[in-house]
Amino acid sequence: MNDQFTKFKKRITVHAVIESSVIALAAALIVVAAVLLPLSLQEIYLNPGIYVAIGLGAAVLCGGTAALFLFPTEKRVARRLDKDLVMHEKVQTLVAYSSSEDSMAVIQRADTNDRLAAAGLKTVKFKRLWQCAVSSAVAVILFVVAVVMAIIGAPEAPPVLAGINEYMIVGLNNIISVVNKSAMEKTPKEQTVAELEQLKTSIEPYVNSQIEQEVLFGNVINTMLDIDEIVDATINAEPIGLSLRENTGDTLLLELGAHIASLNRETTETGFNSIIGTFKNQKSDSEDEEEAPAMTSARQSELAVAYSLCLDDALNQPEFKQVADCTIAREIIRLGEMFDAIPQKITELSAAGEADKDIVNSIIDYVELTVNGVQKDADEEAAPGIAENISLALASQINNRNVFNDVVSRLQQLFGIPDNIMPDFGEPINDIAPSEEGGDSESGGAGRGDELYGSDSEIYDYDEDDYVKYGSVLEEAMALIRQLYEGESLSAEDLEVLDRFMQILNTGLEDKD
Amino acid sequence: MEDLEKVKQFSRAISDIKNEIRKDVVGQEEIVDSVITAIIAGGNVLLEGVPGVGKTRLVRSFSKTLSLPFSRIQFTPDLMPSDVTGTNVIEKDAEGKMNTVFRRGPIFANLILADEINRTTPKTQSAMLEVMQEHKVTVGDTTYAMEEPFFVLATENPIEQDGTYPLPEAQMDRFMFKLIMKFPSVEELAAIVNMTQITMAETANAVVDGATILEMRELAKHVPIIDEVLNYAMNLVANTHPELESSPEAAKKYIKYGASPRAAQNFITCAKVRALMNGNYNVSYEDIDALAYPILRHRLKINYNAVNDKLTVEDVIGLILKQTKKK
Repeated sequence: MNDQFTKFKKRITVHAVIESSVIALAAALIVVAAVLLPLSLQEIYLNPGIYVAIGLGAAVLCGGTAALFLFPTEKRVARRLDKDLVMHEKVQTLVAYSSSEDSMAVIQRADTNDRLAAAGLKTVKFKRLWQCAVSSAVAVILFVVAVVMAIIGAPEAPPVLAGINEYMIVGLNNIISVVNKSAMEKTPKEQTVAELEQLKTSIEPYVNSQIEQEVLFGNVINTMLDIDEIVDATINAEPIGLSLRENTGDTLLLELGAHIASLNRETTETGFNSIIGTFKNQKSDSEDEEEAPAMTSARQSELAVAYSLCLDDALNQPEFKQVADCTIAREIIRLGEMFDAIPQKITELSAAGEADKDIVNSIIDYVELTVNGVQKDADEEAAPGIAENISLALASQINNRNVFNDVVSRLQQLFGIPDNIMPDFGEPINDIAPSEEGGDSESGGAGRGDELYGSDSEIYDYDEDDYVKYGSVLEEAMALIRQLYEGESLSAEDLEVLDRFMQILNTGLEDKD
Repeated sequence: MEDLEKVKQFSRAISDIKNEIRKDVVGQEEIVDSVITAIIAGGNVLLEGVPGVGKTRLVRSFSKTLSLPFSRIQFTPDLMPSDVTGTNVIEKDAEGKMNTVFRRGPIFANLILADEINRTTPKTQSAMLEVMQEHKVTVGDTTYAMEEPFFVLATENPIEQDGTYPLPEAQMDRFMFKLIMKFPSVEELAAIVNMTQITMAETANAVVDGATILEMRELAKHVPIIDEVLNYAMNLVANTHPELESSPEAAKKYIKYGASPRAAQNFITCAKVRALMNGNYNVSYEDIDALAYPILRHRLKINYNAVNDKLTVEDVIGLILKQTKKK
């Protein structure tokens, strides 16, 4: 076939495909709208898949039919070209006589080919362009109107309900017991328990029935947020540490502040030791300490004055003054007082005729005793120093935070709250107690050694051949019991027995008194 | 390639003929084109026109341009058939013997102007028309063939109808075209007067000959025509017959009887020639439409309804054209 004719045919075929597609789409939209609109006005709502099927069917039927009519056979193409390009049946003759070897037919084909080439492909315009545009626009408008009408009239999706069962009450009682037995400080503990009791009270009326899941989750999360606020109020290490970190010009004080703010007891102790170390040794350019010049009392006095001035900047900040009554703040103030006292002591000792070396050692003893505590008598306990008091205060605050994280974890598991709607409360603090002579060490938990709240204590698991946390084993058992109860494999009486058993496991360490 | 050259020669010949004719005939472009078409197609033309519009001059110019012998026959009521065809006469030869010799009549030429053919008797008309159809004359036992190309241009005077013998419809059908030569416009009149003040003689030169005409005729036969156009021409002829179920309303209302199959043949033959004359290598709907009036106007008989509605045969042909669908 003539190459020019083939090119034109391809172009017209593309137009036909586009037209058929537009017809298919418009038909689908119009038919769906025609079905959707009256049904939605009658408040009859079908599965969306049905509308998709209807649309697809209409698209295939109408688009296919259109394609049949529009499909450009050679004859149709020839007819169209003769009409559009005013060729006076030249192209139709070319097609009809395409295989003729007659000389006139050959001349006719060549002449038509030249005329087509001269006309150019772009002379064949997309027919019915505006009809396609209008019909598409009308179809889209109808469809959108129908969908909007359906959405406006559509009934709201029924709320997801959550079942409230006795096991949840048992679980809440368990959590309350855990908090009571924990190392949390008294005031936040009482407040936390109050919040948990309030949550229990809010869901008790719905036991063995259902409430909206959104409401249940909301209540639980609000309880978590309230407890978070309570615990946050006890964490004064952060503002104090930040005050030190951002307002002192001294590197060691700045680092000490960062350690306190991060509630890290071990590094806090290290920070204090570093400060003490500056009163013992002078720095040297050489790495070899033996080459460092010997400490002098004058240098110690300079250090003390410098530390005092830096500390004063931090102590005068509003965020420090707000929490000035707390233990950590008082100990920081005491640290400042120690620095203030050093120049006076040096003056007094010097006036008493002490050698400089002895003065230096005296100051070192003073600093060490003030910071690390002094044992007045071998038979008595050492009086706590600044570092230890701060460490103990940090420990309480760490306990508060970790108990809170444990409560959050238990509540999430008890009520099945998904992770994606849980607020981010941060990770539990992995507290490492600073080393101290005569101090108790404890494994697991953040208590003072003789109090456990159970979750972090470890027991040996024969199946795992390893130690596992006691609390996680209990949680697994509780989850299984909950499944069995919700699956109606347990009766209410069975649940009561198991509840008492779980309570014993959790509160077995309760003091008889 | 040879045929392409022939096609190009065809175009050149047509152009040359028209240019030469224009030297002697002012205006009348459509008449000239139609006459050229008829000559190449091998048909005859009936020309209607008032006296003095240049009918004789037209045929004479064609004679000179086509290098073909020309003969003019003025038809009168007393003209006998033998006056047209020729007759046997008895002649004494050189030895004194009496022999029968055939004296050829004026019909023995290539281009014949049969002037006022409607003024002669039906008998003479029949003799003339028989030659037109058969291209041969039989006198006694001898048949004499006309030399090709043989073309007759017959004229009718539409004014003086008293004492005339209008051609019967069956005879009219033998003419390929009926052309109406209109009175020239004022500008054309001025050009005619200016031209003929210099000389009355035809100044056209010969540009082709009879053999070329025959070659052109043969070439035109090969012009392709698609079925749709062919069927359109056939439908056009069929639609002039009111007795057919499929004929349009105009035919049923205004036509007494329609065109013969000869009209259908003429459509296709002439359409091919016309296409080639216009530089096209295929027959189109336009070619058929352009030939509708000359081919059909003398073949249709309109009825009283048309007269009553003040419609001419031209108007009825127009209606038939509108009501015949093209595919």
